[in-house]
Amino acid sequence: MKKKALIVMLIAVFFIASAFCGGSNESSGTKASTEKRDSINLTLNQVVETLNPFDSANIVDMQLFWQLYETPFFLSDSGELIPRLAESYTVSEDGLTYTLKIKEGVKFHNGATMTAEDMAWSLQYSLKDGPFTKKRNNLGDFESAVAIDENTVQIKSKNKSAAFMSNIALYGYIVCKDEFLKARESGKLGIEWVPYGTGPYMVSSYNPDSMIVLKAFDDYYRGKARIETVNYQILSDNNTISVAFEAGDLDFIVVPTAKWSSISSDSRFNTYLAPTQHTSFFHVNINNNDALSNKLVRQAISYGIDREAMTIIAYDGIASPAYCMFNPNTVYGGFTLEEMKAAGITTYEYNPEKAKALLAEAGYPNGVDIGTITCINGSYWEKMSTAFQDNMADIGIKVRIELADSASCRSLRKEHKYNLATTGTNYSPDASYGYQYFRVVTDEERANGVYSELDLSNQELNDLYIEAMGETDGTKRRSLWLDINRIIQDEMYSIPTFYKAIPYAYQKNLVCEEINTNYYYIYNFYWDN
Amino acid sequence: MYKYILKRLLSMIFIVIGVAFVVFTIMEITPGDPAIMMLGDNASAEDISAFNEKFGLGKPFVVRFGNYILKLFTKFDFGTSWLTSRPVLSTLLDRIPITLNIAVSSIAFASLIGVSLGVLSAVKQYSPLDYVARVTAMIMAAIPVFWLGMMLAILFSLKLHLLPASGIGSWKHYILPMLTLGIPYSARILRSTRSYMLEAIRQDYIRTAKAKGIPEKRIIWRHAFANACLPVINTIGVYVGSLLGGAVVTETVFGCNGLGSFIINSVKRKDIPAVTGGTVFLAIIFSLILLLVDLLHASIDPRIKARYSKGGKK
Repeated sequence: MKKKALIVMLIAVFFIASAFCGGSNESSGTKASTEKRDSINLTLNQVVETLNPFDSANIVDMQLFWQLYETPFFLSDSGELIPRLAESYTVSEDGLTYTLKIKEGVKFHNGATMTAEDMAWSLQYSLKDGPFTKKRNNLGDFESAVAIDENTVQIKSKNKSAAFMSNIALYGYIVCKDEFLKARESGKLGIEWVPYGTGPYMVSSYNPDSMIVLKAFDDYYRGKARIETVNYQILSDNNTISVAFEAGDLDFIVVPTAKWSSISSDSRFNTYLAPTQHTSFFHVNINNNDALSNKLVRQAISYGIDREAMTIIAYDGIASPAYCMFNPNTVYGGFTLEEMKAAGITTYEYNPEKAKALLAEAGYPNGVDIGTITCINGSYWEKMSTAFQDNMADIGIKVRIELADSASCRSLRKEHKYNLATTGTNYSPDASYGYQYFRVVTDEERANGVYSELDLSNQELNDLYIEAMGETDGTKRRSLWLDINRIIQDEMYSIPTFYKAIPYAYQKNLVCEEINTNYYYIYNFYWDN
Repeated sequence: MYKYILKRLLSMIFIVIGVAFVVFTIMEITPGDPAIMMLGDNASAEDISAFNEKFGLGKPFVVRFGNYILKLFTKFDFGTSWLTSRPVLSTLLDRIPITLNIAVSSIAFASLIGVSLGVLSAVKQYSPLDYVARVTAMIMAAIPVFWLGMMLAILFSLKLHLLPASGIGSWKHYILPMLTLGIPYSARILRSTRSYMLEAIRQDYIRTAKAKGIPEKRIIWRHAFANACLPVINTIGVYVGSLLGGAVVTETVFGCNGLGSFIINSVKRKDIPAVTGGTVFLAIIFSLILLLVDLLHASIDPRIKARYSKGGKK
């Protein structure tokens, strides 16, 4: 009996070991290659909140919106505005009025033809009149939009803004007015699929909790998409996503950072590291901590961070060290190390000795306690904080990590109840997005609910920002951004750590013609059967 | 018996109120402004005030809680999610089949394996089978669910290509979640069954039955197991309840979004109606399952049935 049990156990162990330790199976993941495919399997890592493009700035919802809805222009990675629902635009001499000529013959998903009234109403309702707040921060200058004839829309801006039309390209979704209003009346808005978009895909079945299926829109004005069906599965676990991808159940994924080295070296897959406009950083609250209110301490902290090591610890090396608040490769307003050095701007490459000297100069020769880092638990920021804590210990700075859920962290940051806080931002379309942090909030604005997480009173920086945002001359604008960076680097109100990249992987015979910074369009994908 | 059922159903009212009160209070005292969470960091004071007005957030806690309970009992209204604008009940009804399928199939699998091996292990105490079963049970009970889930997915999806790694669709999608949850629970049920069976086997009435020459199979199943299964049924009932809301890890690993993941995601986003509605819904189902377990208990054990039946002492 004992022998029998032993034999059974040995067989079981052999079976499991051979299954787990066997070499990679070449047929997995290439399941699609033998069949003619007209569908693609993708994943969203969170439940979709809404189908109303006006009502969400959530990155997961946006991934879906990019396939279903469109804006007047497409903002390319080089900052060029490529015509989509609008053919062209002109700007008035005072820089406050934009006149758009709409593209003719564009069909909505319900078969109706897009009119200038649809475009004007969509912009006016989403950015001004309607109850939608999540995108308005990016288009705070929007004043009004009216259709001045059948093919022309006039948009007015409150202030001269170089990035105004880029922001319209990113956030100004156009829908079919009648269909949208009908959906609003029936209570379906955002909850059910309603054919008011113009994008290359429309929803075929919608279960926001588990599966969303899209089908190609036959009458899409740029020609029907080459991939007929898109299956979006809602999967939140990184390991599940990579296993499903390797098993061939998914065709295109954002690779979990920990899996990047194995997937990118696997010949069965194509991979692409897409640059982003994102910067991860530590906000410093200079108003409630003596040490942190001292500029020399903030500079010492910045010198004390080993950013190269931090990218590996916190983001598995799929990021590049950030020495400027804005990524010079992707964000207009960012500068490279060389450019900053040439302009005499401090760059804070890792130098613990210099950090200690600055601390001593600040009156803390034996180190200092700077309080706590407020950090979202379970995120890469947690690892970033741990690396930071270790770096600070090396230069004699004590700091504790306070972990909390995202709601609590946001609340603490908004109420300025923090010493240091981990956060990050996509500076899209350009560095002007950072105004929300570096601005001065007046008492009147404060009474109206306007706030800034950093709560600064640097009027010079505020004024330079306003000037740069309004300047349309490229050379002058670039010079203003350099001045802004000079102040930001000198003051270190916010300490940049690294620029993330998005690691994509897709099946070998899937062709992705173009993957843009921050997002992808399935319209640009096809199977090379 | 009917009186007992009625009493238990009435007691659920207090359970629901209690659960709702605890959830409401916890969500109230945790930091984070719901309006900012829903409208975004840059919502104006006007927008925040409109949001608070729309959802009655400006009213005192007691009034809001009272309104919630009133709507729940009069209209069976679990509220509307602030995040998705969908009625919470409709989301719960969409997700409950997924959760129930996973929970019921897992517990059925776990019971089948756990009870049969538990009985065998007790009957063949100190035999190689007993040792193997106990050691395996100990290992299986100690394995973290997320790890087991990943290993099963790697084995059956990635290596053997037998089952889908994730998602919900055909019956095949439920096999891996069922195994992931069922294996640790089968280990627990095995250990409980074994210990209750051993206790029953040592009773005087078993010795008497043996002395009377009753066949061993009959002694084991009709006399020992019939008594040992009562606490096992209770244990299984509690496990079903805990599986309903507690299968979050398995749901996440296999991308089958059931009740557990719904509540967790809602907590993260401070979607109070969704959290409260989800928790209250689970409490109701859990109470109903416990009631069913008690009724099953009574139907098996004539002593319990007599206590609740007409003329019987309570």
